[in-house]
Amino acid sequence: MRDFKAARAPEPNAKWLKLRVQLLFGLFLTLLGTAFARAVFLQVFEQEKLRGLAQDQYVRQIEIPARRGDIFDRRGTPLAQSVEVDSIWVDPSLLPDVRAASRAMARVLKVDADELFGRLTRAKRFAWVKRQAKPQDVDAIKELGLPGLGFTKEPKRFYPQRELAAHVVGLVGTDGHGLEGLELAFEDELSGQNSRLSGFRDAKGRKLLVQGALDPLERQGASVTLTLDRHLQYVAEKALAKAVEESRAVAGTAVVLDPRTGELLALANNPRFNPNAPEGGDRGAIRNRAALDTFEPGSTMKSFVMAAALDQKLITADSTFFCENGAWPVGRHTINDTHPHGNMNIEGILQVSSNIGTAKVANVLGRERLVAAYHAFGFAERTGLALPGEGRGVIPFPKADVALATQSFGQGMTATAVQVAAGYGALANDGVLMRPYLVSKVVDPDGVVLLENQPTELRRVVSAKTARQVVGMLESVVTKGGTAPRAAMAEYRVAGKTGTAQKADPVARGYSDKRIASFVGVVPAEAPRAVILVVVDEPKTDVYGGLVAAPAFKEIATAAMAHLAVPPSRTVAPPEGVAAAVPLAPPPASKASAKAAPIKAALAEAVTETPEPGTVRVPDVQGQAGRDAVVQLLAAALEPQVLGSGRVVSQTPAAGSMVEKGARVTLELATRQ
Amino acid sequence: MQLRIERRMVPHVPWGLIVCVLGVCALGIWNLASASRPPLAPVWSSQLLYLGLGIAAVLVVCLVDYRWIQTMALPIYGLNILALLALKVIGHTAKGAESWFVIGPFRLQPAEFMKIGVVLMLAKVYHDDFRPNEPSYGLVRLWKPVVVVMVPFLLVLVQPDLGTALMIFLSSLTVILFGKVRWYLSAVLVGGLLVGALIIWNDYVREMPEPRTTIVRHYLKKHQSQRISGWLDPEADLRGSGYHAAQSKIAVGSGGLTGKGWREGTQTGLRFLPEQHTDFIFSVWAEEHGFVMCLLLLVFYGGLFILGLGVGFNARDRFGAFVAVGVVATIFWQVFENIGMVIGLLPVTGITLPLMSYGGSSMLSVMISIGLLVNVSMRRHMF
Repeated sequence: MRDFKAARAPEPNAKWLKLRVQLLFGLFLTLLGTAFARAVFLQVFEQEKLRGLAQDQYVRQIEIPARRGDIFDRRGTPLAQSVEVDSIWVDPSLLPDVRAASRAMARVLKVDADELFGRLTRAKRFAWVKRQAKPQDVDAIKELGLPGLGFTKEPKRFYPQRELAAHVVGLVGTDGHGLEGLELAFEDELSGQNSRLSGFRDAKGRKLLVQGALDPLERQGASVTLTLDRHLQYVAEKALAKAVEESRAVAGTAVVLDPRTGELLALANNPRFNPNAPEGGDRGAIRNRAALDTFEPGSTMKSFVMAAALDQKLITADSTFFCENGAWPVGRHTINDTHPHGNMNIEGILQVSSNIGTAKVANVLGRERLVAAYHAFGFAERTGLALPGEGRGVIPFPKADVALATQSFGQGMTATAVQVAAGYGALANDGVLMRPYLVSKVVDPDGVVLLENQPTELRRVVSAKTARQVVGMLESVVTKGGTAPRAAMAEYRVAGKTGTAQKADPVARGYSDKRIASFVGVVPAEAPRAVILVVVDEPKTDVYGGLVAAPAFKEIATAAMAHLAVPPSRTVAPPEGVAAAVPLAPPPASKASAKAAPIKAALAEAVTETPEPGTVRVPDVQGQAGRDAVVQLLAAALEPQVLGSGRVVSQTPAAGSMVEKGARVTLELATRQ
Repeated sequence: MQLRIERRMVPHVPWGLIVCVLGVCALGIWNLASASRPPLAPVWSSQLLYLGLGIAAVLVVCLVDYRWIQTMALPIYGLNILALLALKVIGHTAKGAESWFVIGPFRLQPAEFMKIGVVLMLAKVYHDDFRPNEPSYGLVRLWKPVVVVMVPFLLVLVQPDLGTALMIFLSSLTVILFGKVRWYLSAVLVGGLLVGALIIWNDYVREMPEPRTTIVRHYLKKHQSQRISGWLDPEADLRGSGYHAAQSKIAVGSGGLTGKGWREGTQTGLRFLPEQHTDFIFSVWAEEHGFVMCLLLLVFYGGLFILGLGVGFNARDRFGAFVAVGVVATIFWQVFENIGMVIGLLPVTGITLPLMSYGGSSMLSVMISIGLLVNVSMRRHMF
């Protein structure tokens, strides 16, 4: 305590001490003042500049994908739509136990827990749990009540018609970009303008999600309307699938074309795939063979040879050619017919599909004119369907005699199914080739038409007289003596041509015993409304187009005629007892001629003649005006439910089925385009 | 040693000073709650705990008569030196410096307490060394204070913690100058400052063809050299040495007059700011509350310094006056260096802002210092 005592003696309150404290005062205040001045400088005078610098750092443009435009069939039925679905993400740093959480979420979503756990541990602040999740999955995840979960809307492509026209419509990837088909071809139009939104980014460059999105309408992509008809597409796909299955073929193609306009009403392929779950299908199933693949068409080409020769007056319908009794040596090769024939006129050659006869006509026509004729019918040039990677086909100049011969019956050259159909379209359209097309309109959300395809005449290929003449000759094909009697229809005149092409063997460099069977038909022959081509690749049971492809043609043609409300070519008395149960019965269109009236009466009779208690037979009202259909259904004690306006394009339950009285019948109406 | 508060002490309790300190503390915790917004750990709650500890420390320090502390100055100083030496053996290394003792969940930074030790020891040396006829110190007479300063200065410097060492040096220098030195020493000091400025100008600023002839630059470690160049021209290397300075400048400036609002600061929230809850806490404050509230904070700090110096002004003995000046100088240089670096006035050193930055050791050390001020103030007219 010595110090304590010493301190007791009060020191003189030194003046210097106070002075120095004051000096220190001054120093400190000066320095503080400097800091203050600097703060003023930064926060008052430089604030604008520095605020700009700050924004440059954290504001980032976030691109919001536009809602993809829809794809419709010709009647406005959506084939591809975009829907907003929830995607689930999580901030793993907020999860108390990542392993337990990933296990729980994996159980709900039925995914691999380890994989999810791995993803969550790799990410620090953001990880997708499931993109484009189903609503029930989202609800289930929400019920888990885990912290750090987030849900964000992402557009997802949805194909309401599933497999229908999937090859044409194509596919998009998870990122929303078109991968196949029209989705790819019209990527720019469909995807629309991505909108930009200012968002924040943090120092590590991660984007932070911003609340609130723009009006989806403002950034929507354009919609694409096709010439396809959902109904005909469905029928074509069904008939084709049946043909492929029954003949145990590897693939098939069907094309339905309106010869007067060039519109493709159906473009079917087999095998099919479901675009909503494309992972399941293999690449081959996704391929749009009808437009992309070329093949050797075979005998279907003979009609063009004849048309060209007739048109140039090199032959007449009465010209006869000796068919060499089935074997004709050309150079070191021999041309064969399936059956031996002697002298035949042009119609006969087409009817029995004589290779020798056609080859002789081709000899008359000559090399240059044959190739020119094929080119005139639109072969070896892209049709311009807007499908990516569309096939072109090749017609090599036939230098050798045998090449001229084989090319005349469609070997040694290639074409796409659409080209063959379009060529027949020219014959059916009085010799004028129309440009085939698939997309009728592309309209952006504001209603501005970005693209509109109108029926386009490409050129007159042959005279109307010649065209009618050839079509007339082709009618003989479906008669009993022809190659395709199975294609004959009861009510409509059918002109058609079979094709049974040998497939080239890419390995052995020759022809294999594999075949491509095809049938192309024009109905009704007197005033063609549809050209229908069915191609079956490598059929195993039968190889002839008349046996394999013709029945499918007939099925499609029957439905197409009914659907297009084409008046029958001839009246056929309905077979006794079958009456309305036959769905093939032609729909009595109101604008049909008076000849149709008796059938209508007969149908009505058939309906009232089934007096099973409590049940009635559904009348066939397809093709009728909405009001007439409703009246008829009410008369049959059924409750009509009408969708749309115009004429009936489909009805459920189908005509002829037995239902309880008062049952509901849904009619789908549409205005014909 | 007396452990009681007498009635006559009460009028001399420096209420203004306490208000300033508590004001800064309150703003500090509010600000920390913003700087450590989710998803960061909410460190403001632990800071609240440290504040409680600090207030308790103030009360304990107040109860003890500072003349007893004066007798204990040497043991306190010695203990602190021992702690710094022990750090070499059992210290915890973080961010390249061996500066921490780890005791359970707490990390103790002895260098913070060393500052108090140095101040107390210096005050004691000056008190004991008083010679009425020879008020100013020559070079020879300065050996005792210089030894007192240089030992901890070097110990902290080799940790390496240049910032804290500089703070010890600066506050001690202030105290030594306060203790009056001969005029030639002052002249040497001023000359030294000028030479230093000249060296920096020559080594960093002057336009010169490469390779430049440098005086000191090539002796410095790269990160030290970059601090200086980053301070002089933060825009030159925005991703490297200038990043801290530029970011804090942007944060402060973008706050403008009124700020962006509590927890609304973009540079803070998006974590562009480095060390935002410790060294760069002031830029959080400036960004979110703007110039006006910065002024309020400066007023609080200014009040603390003025009233703290006032305590020294009215202290009844040399020891009290020197303790008060030393404590205020310590706090002042930290505040000045920290704010100065945040607003781009001074080079970036790892100095925390007293009472605002997160950190238990710093908080406790500053509160003990405040306790000493209160103590000196209360026992002003004891005899």
